[in-house]
Amino acid sequence: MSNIILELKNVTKKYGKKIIIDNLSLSVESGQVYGFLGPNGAGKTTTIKMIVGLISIDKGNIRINGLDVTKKHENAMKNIGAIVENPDLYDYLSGMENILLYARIHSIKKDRINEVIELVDLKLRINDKVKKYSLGMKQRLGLAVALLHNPKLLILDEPTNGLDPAGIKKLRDTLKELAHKENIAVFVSSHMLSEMQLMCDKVAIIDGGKIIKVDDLSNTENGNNQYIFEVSDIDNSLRILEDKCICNITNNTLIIQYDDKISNIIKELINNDIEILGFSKKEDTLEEEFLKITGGIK
Amino acid sequence: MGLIKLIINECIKAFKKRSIIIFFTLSVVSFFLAYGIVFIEKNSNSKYTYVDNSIESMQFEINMLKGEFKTATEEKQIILNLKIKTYEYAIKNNIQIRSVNGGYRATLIVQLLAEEEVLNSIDKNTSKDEYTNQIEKIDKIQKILDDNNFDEYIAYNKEKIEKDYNDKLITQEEYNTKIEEQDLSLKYEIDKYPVDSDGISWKKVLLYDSLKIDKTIENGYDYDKKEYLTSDGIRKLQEQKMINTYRLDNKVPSNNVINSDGNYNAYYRWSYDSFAIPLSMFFIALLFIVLATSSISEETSKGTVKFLLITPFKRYKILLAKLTSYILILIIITLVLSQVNVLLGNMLFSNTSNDYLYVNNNKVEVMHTDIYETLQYILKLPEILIYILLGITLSTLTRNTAISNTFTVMAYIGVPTAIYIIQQFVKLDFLKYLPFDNFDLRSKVLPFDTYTSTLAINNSYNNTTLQFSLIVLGITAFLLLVTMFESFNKKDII
Repeated sequence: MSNIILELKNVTKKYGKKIIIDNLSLSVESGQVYGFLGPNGAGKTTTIKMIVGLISIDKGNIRINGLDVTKKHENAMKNIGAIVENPDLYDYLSGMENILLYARIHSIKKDRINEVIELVDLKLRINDKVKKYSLGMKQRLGLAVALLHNPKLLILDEPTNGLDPAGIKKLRDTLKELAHKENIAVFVSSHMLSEMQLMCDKVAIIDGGKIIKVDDLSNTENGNNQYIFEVSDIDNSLRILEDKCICNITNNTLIIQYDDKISNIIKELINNDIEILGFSKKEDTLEEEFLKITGGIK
Repeated sequence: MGLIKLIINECIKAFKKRSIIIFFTLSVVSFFLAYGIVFIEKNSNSKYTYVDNSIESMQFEINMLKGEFKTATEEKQIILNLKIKTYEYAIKNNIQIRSVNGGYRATLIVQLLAEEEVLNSIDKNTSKDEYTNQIEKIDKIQKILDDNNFDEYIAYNKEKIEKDYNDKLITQEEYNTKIEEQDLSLKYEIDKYPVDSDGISWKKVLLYDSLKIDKTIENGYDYDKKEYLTSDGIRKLQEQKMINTYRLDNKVPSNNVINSDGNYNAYYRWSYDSFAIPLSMFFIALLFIVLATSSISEETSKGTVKFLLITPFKRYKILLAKLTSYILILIIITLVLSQVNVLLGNMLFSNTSNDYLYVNNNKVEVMHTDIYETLQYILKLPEILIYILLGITLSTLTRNTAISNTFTVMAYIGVPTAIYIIQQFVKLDFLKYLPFDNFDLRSKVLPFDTYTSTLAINNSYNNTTLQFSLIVLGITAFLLLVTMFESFNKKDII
């Protein structure tokens, strides 16, 4: 029962003549943790700001739960909880006072407030001034504020910044739980691939304002089902395997994507008298892709 | 409903700021500062007390006259005797002839001495009639003194005026004025008592002010302000005269003189108010300039505006909530301050009246001191409101607290001063269309002063009406509002 919560269609943003976001389209379904991966300056935060209506959209449109963010801003925002850039809350107020500000806006009951504070593990320090919080605590307080009104879409911009490894793991588990159990769509941006791979069901790589690649990580247990074959007769083996799996030829090698046991394919080739000269599991394509991009920046 | 929630949030945020506590404390401290100034004035007292040495000097005169006595001729001795008797009479009855206002009896003593001196110059033998007349005159004055009768004194004065008129020493017009003056003196008991037992001098001041108003209206030209009277000016003068008459009729003195119960509290309260009200509101204005100029820019620079804008509200509502909350807080603080001021005034100056008199439908009405003082606070609100709007507009446009703060404070303190200085040299008529020239609503709504008897219009360069000022302020507010909402709605939060 997955339905599309966030949908971007051909979104473009320009500052003067400089194109920041170029014809960007993507969609996030409920119950999904969606990674938005890209190097610094790729346009991640700009995209997020357009989604939450902080900056205007030059072309295209963004819908949240079917509602246009510019035309039906108020209703669209009811479905969103977000931390954009840093978790900046009023530092001269206590954590509780901050939460109460947003609780009043959304008419949130006391039980839910306590529940959220419990969830982000801030019970002990909730009455301290935010000024005295560490960055990690601010992140958790920001998350509490974002989750307060049970949003359908949770947007987090670089949420692991300032968190210690234990905190990162806790966040990862929390987000997965939110998505998979409470059916929330979670949209997370980051520049760290390893993090994304552990956390996300789907990852979009963005660079220069364009989506380079969208990769579905949910279907593959270990995130990789591609194999490289060096065979004696490429054309022949392609013909044989065409119906059974997805095959490609690059650099005189056969690249096969197959989700079942790979030995089935090997058997098939041997039975057809094709000699296997080399065989290897393909290295993480996502990382390869990503490193290419980030390397390109350097 | 959502808007109310936002307003509550903004109020909470503002009240939690430290600046609100600092500036509110400062404005309360300014009450004590104002009282300190009044206290110093009260204790130095140099302005209002003088050492009365009438008795001493009269004693000295008697000794001088006694010294002359031995060498004088017999005739001269008679005169000297008379004079000594007069002085002794004055001393016995405690009539202080040297005092500023010793009452009519002091005037009579002085006259008596003068007439006795005249007697000295008349030759008893050659002009017998004249001598007898003079003796009669002296007896008459002595009789009024003995009878201690104010009516007789006025009658005597009128008689003298009549005689002057018959002798063609004064014109008909002068005669009328002088007789009227005497009638009014009788009516209001002017000079009946010495100054320290009743506030007599204020009556005199008011009476002469009213006579002067008559003269000014008759001339159609105001010599003090050096300008011709407009119909509005005439109306104001007439109203002032009505107020003067009311004060005289009901024995309500203006505050620049000793009060009828013999203390200076009314004056001190007036003096205290004229320090306390502007000073306390100065700090309140600064507070709201600080709040307004940091409103949007601080949230932008600290990033909190992002959480604020990702709420299910149209942007304009968020700005509207901010603006409304500031106005609400401004009104609450102003009312609290004004009531603290009224309370302190009543405590420090033991419930002394500083009532405001004004004319409504050709009738003089009395505004109670408490309301008058509160109203003075309320009339400062439009000015602060304009600065709040200016502050928020600059804060929204520049997104920079330092810049918007500097500009607004400069506009608040610098521009009115600059305009004032410019107006001393050249009269630039167009300046009256600027808001700065229209902030002083007090002189328009409360044109009369409780302190002096004359009109309180002191901003000589701005004679615009209340309606004009309100229109100018209204247009300014509208333009600022449009700019602020336009800018806040359109701008990206980068």
